[in-house]
Amino acid sequence: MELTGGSRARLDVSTGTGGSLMVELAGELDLASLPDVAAPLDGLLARRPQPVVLELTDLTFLDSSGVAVLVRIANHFQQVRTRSATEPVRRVIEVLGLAGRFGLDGA
Amino acid sequence: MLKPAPRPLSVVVALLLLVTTVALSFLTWQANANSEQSLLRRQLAQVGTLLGNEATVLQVQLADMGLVATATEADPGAFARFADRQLDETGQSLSLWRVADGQAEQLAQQGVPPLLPEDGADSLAGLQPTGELVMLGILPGQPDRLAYALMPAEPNTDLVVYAEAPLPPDRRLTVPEGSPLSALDLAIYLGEDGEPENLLQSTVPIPIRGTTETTTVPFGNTSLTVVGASRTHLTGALSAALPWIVLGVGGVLAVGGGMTLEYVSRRRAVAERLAAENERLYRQQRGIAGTLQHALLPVVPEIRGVEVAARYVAGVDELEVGGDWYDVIARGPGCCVFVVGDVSGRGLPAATTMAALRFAVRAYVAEGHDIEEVLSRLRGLLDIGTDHQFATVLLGELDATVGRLRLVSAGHFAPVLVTDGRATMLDCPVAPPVGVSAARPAPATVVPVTTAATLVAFTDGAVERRGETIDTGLERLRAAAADAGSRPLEGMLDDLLGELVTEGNKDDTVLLGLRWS
Repeated sequence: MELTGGSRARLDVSTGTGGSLMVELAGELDLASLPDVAAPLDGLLARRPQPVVLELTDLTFLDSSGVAVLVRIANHFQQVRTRSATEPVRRVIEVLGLAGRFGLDGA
Repeated sequence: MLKPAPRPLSVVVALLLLVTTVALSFLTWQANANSEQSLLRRQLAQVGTLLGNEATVLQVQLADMGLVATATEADPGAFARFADRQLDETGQSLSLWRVADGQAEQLAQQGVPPLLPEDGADSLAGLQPTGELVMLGILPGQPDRLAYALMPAEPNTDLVVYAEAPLPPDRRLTVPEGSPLSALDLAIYLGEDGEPENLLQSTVPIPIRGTTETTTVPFGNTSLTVVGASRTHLTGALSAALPWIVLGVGGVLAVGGGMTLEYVSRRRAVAERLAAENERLYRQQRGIAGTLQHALLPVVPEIRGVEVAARYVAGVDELEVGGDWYDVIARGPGCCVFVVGDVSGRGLPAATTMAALRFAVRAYVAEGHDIEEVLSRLRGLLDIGTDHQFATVLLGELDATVGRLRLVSAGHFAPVLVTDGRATMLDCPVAPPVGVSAARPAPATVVPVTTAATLVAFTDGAVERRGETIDTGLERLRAAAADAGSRPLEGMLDDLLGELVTEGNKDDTVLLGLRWS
């Protein structure tokens, strides 16, 4: 997936097949790219709590600031499941002790 | 300071512009010259018309006198009276001749006495009764005179009207100021060859200089040659100046363009110098951020039986202080509580949170709480929902006297333990970071360490690199710790930094080393 313009990270929200909320994060999510997702994140966190699926197939890098985004999503929606995390992202989540919190596949 | 030589690009651009300018100037000059030449031709044509009119005037004048002479059967009195009215100019000579058998006889004369042509009055006998003005040449005298004659177009006539008109001194022609011809240098020659001796009149000493144009006009039985040159620019001063203006403006533009380019490229050089300077300032500021961080970070305590060393390296990407910290709190001989943590984000929020957590840990430890309890209490201090921050914290309790290490982690890496040249990543359950709600308090992991050992705790800057999984970084740290494990503690940490912290590392890095035996 291409990221257009100068943005390095992207957050898209859609409704999945099961009617659950799909949140797709892509690119490199770190302190520098936080502004790229700030607006859609605010919009996302304004929604009522409901089950959410985090789709991280195209998320290639995640630092602690990026993890904070995932944590805020997880805290807001309570029921979170994380799909298709790349290995680096998966390990960051695991190392932080957040695999269970994020409902990481296989955790 | 020596003035630096111009850059080649500037010179090339300036030269290109100059060449273009010269070419444009040439074209302008040529266009102007062409219009000059064409204007000059038109003016000479006008001069020719005027001269042609003059010939007609002379011819009519002589023809009239011829008619009078014929009508009066060459009555000298009548001729003299009529001729007198024609003598509008001093120094003119008018005379009436009868020709027969190659001989000429003067019948009447008015004005100054005639000089007569070189071959005498008899040359008048060669004239034909055509009524046409016949030019007989320039006669040397004081002044020189132009001789001309006419034989009336009458059948069986033997009369010839002869005239001499003085040429002005030096044959100088004065064109009245304001005349359309006043801008011309003109020379009028009798005949078509334009030889100096045939010069009738000229406005300036001959030959005419400059770009000349020549025209011939019929004049009686011969013609006049008019050579002209424009004294000033007929097309106007602006038109004449245009090539020079183009050259001047173009030259200025070329030089200006070159100089602008030079200036711009020099500005770029200056900008590059400034960038270098900014980088230096940036490093300095980075240093300031580091200094601030160091001010917030403690001086490691002296603990009997435990050697302590710490390193903090600021990441290069940000000018702001980071949220990495460490602390070591002595708890008696061979005993201490240590902490390594990392607040997410950067800048003042991260630094203040870091400071708050650091002093909270100190306070809780001072109150005698166990590290499990300390971590639980820390969780109440930070909430990602309101603070948008979380902190990873590793809390450890070392009792070197009994060889026991206890660890609790909230989202933080477990430390690496080096014993006997072997390095091991300690395994420790990781609870969610501080600031993220945790279902249950993490129990402390107990690691027995009965031999001499070195423990190195760290933050993610030491192991995280873009484009690789964190396990690769962890393995790199483990291997480096094994290699450097035999070095003095301070030197070991420096080795690890050299090995792990690459140029351009974005994240802050903390290394905390504890060594005991």
